[in-house]
This record gives sequence, structure tokens and C-alpha cells, in this order.
Amino acid sequence: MKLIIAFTILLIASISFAQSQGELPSAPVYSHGKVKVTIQKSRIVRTGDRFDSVEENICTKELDINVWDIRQPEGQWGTSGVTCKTQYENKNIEAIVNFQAAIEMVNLHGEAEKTPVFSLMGVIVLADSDAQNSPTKSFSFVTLSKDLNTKSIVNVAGPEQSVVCDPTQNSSQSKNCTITNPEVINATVEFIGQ
Amino acid sequence: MKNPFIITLFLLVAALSAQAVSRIGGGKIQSVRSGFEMNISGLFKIADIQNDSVRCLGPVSIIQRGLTSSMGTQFFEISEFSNEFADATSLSAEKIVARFEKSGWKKISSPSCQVVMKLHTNGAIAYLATWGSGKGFVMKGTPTAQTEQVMREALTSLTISGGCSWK
Repeated sequence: MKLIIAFTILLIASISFAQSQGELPSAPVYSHGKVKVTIQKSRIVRTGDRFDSVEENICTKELDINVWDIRQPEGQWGTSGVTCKTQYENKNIEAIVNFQAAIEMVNLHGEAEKTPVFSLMGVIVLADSDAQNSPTKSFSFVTLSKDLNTKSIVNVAGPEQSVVCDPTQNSSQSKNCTITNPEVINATVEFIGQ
Repeated sequence: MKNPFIITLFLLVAALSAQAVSRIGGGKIQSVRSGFEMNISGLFKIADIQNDSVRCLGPVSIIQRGLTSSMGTQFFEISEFSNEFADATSLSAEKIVARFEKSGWKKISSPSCQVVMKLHTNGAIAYLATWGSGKGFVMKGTPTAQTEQVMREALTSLTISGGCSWK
């Protein structure tokens, strides 16, 4: 009988200890998800007396991705990506979208229970495939959403532009820079469910 | 010997082209042909000159086009009114307003005799400003609040030389 009581106490203590140590998950992957990446060309055209944009789809790809747990060291995370080739003004262009999805448990609005907040971080790179010094233009994005459990468009926000190749600048990096402007080729990353 | 008529025509076209919308430095653009000058806010840089028009590039942002949103550089282009709407250069102010209202443009108040109109579609925001005889310009850009704000600021800074020339 004493042995059973001792074992029960030990079991309860073990569970309590495990719960108190719940900050670090055993696996870096929090969940799995599906993402749709769309890369398009867009330009403003005149039709009659009106102006509107015309979008031409370059590619649409769906990916199964890992949603990482933000408490794990970032070095353990993997990156998902899509590369599409297209032509613009007789140049061969590669549009590359690389991103990571992660979950952070957050106390929102002082609530006792933590809510998973989904974040998507990535970079879109436009590269001139044929150029010798591979000029590129890149711009990064971060987005946050609480909508992990429903199908939702991820609004890409908080841009931080990093221009490696900019024809308007006179830096040495920008010499012989022939890459297209990013307003012509852009990308949408859409979280479409788990 | 080359035909002097062709040479004269070429020189005339080249001269007219040179006087179209262009950058003059200090964040300003001007058009000798239409006789105007305008400031472009520091957020947007005058980046490119092509086909008698200038292109201003702004920060990267979400660009909502109808139901879809994507990320890209905000921009707008400024071109001569007479290049965009060559068949409207001889119209009176009233006829300009009547014609463009049929296509969804809305007249907005302007400080002088100019006709200023705005169009907002799913994929673009555009302004036209004209003061008779085909003089004026068209601005069209990405449908974002920031692009619209910079275009409106440019309109506020507009100065025209010689006044209106409505027939």
C-alpha cells in the first residue's frame, strides 16, 4: 500500500515538474501548414479613358511547410521556398520567395491563457539570371496573424527594403545593374490551412 | 541629300519631346510644353524618365488590388495630358468634365481655372489636371494611401505659367 502511495506521489510530482518546465517543447516543429505562393507581373494600362492594373500570373505553387516553435533556436528551423523563372523586357528573371513560418505563445490583452500567434518571415528576390555579377533586388517581409486555424490570406506587412541593385544609385554595386523594378514583379504568400 | 522636310520634322519632334515632363533636380519636375512645375515628396524619388514621362518610386508596401493583395514598390508616373488623351486636347473645360465623368472620374476642387479630376479603380489611382489647349498632365500609380497622398501633395505644389488657355 505504501509503495502505491509513494508511486502516486512521485507520478504527481513528475507531472507538476513537467508542467512547470513546459517552456521548451521537445520538438522544434509546432505544426504543419499549407502555403500558396503566387508570383505575378503587374502594370498599369489605359483602357478607354480609364486606368487599371493588369496582372499576369507567372506561377502559383502550393507548399507543405513546417510551422516552427519560436522558443526553439532559429538555427534548427528549416526554410521553405519557391523559385519561378520568367522573362521581362527580354531579360531572364528569377523570382525567388523564401520564408519561415513560426508560432509564438502570447498573452494577448492581459488574458491568462496564451494564444498562438502565427508569424511569417521571408524575402522576395528578383535576380537577373544571365548577368555575370548576378544583380538582385530583394525585399523582406514579416507578418503576424492569430488566424492559424482558419483559411486566411496572410497580409504581408512591415516591409524592410534591401536593394542590392538599384539603377538610381551610383554605387559600385549598382553598376551594370539591369534588373527589373520590383513594382513589375511581386508576390503574395497565402497561408491556406493546416 | 536627305529630304529637308524629314530633317525639320525630326528636329521638331525632338524639340517637343525634350520639352515634355522631365526632372529638374531638387525633387521637382517641370514641363516646358505645358508650362508647369511640381514638387515630389521626399518619400518618392524621381527614378526614371521614359517616353515623355517620369516615374517616381516609393517605399515597398502591401498593394491591394481588388480582392488580392501583394507586396511591391509603390510608384506613380507623370505624363503629358496631350500624350495620354490626344483626342481631348481641343475640348472645353465643361466637355472635359462631362467626358471623363462618364468613365468614372470625379472632379475635385482646384484653386484656379484648371480642371482636376481623380479616378480610383481596383488597380490604380489616377489624377488628371488640364488648363486648356491640351496643356496639363496625368498621374497614375499604385492604389495605396501613401501613393495617393504624395500625388495630392504634388498637386498642391503645382504652379503653372501663363495661366489657362481654354478656347
